[in-house]
Amino acid sequence: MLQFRGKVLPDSSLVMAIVNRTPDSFFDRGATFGLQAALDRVDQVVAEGAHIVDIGGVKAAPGVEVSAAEEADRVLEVVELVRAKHPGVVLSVDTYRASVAELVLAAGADLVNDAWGAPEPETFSVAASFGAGIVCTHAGHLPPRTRPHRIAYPDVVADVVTTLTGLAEQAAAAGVLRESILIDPGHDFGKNTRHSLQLTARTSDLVATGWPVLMALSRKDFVGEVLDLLPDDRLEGTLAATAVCAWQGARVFRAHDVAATLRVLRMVDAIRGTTEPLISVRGLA
Amino acid sequence: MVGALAFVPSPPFLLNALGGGPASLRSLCLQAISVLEGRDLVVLGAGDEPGWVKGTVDATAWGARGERAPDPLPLALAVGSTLLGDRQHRLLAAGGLELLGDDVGLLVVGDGSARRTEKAPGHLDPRAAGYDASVAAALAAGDPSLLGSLDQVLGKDLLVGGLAAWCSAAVHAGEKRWDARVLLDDAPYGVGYFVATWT
Repeated sequence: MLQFRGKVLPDSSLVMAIVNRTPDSFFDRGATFGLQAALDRVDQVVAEGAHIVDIGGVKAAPGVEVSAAEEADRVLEVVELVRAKHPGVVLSVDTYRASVAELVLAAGADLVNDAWGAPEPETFSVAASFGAGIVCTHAGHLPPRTRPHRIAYPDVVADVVTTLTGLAEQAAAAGVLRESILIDPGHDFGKNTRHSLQLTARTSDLVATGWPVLMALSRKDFVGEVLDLLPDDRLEGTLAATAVCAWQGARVFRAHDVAATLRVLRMVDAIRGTTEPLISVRGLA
Repeated sequence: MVGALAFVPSPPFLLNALGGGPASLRSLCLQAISVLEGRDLVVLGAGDEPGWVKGTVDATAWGARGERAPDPLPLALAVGSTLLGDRQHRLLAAGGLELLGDDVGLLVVGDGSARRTEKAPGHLDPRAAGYDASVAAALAAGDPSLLGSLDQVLGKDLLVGGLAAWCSAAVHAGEKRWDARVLLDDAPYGVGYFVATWT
């Protein structure tokens, strides 16, 4: 069972919708930087059926420095307004800063998506103190907002499994509920495309750790390189990877395209036999 | 001669393991069954061999997950058994010469033509609507002789699944004219469904 501050999520595969309060993220390029645009995007993804909304104030790639104060400015008011309007949705904030995590959790967020592999480990105790959840990410042992250069692993899957089980146990030891901890292998983060493909193919190794697996695949460079396509044209590749990971038991998918991802997951869940068809009349009437 | 009859269709989706079917259809079936309350319940439907049947409701043959039972019931009897739930009942495959007394409430499980529409399992046959209309008329009249004299050859052609059950039901209903109610006469998925009661 997955739960975040008392909000229990269904047993199905789940979608975490991406909402960027940033002027420069790689796919939306500032489309939801404005407050109203960000709030509209939240309304839309909730209406589409997203289980978790993930609000970010700093783009992942290297770029203009965003101070903690500026980051908090961007995400805090969105968290407050969304919390009031959508009390039931699981609200996540994408941040690697413990200070920002503390502010948004105080404002009602449920989950910290610590996408850079816990550079500030006190984030765990901050999450624990609010009874909130945490995403433990494998970022290739790189500092936040850097890109991999000729990074090498003897066995990338083994490295990810060891690192993530270590981080998850660290979070649990700090007091985060075990059913509120997710692990994310961090596609593209500290990895080349072949590393990300191996992690996709061997999702079951991550699932076998027993920790629920979050996959952040949406329109990323590993999809782009496989298909030689820019972010605008990476939907099909993303959905193919989504299906492969869901089939192997990954639980949560961080996605730009909520409705499409939900359809893929419902289809995969039905094939796995964990969800019933919405209609089953063909040949049975 | 039995004491009361209820008529229901037998689409596999009425089995619990296949979703239980549309709520409206299921509830009409249960409404019809309620006229049998207090009687010795017998389900009558097409089976492999005429006579009393024992077995397990098992939907794996229709794609439900799980282990196949060693003694799966024929579809109509499985559907009837499912609709009766935990009420005690016996199962009778149509075509035999068993005598049933007026303490028996008979649940007759069978379908009309599977050729009612373009998208029907057996595609459209223009004769199907008229045939099913004659079934509905027999049920509405409460007249066992009409129900027992349906055209068997044409019925087989039109994939009418309920023929055997209705023929047997006509025998068990005797020569009386029954107080009849038709609760459903429709083919929402191209197969003729009838829900009716004779009391």
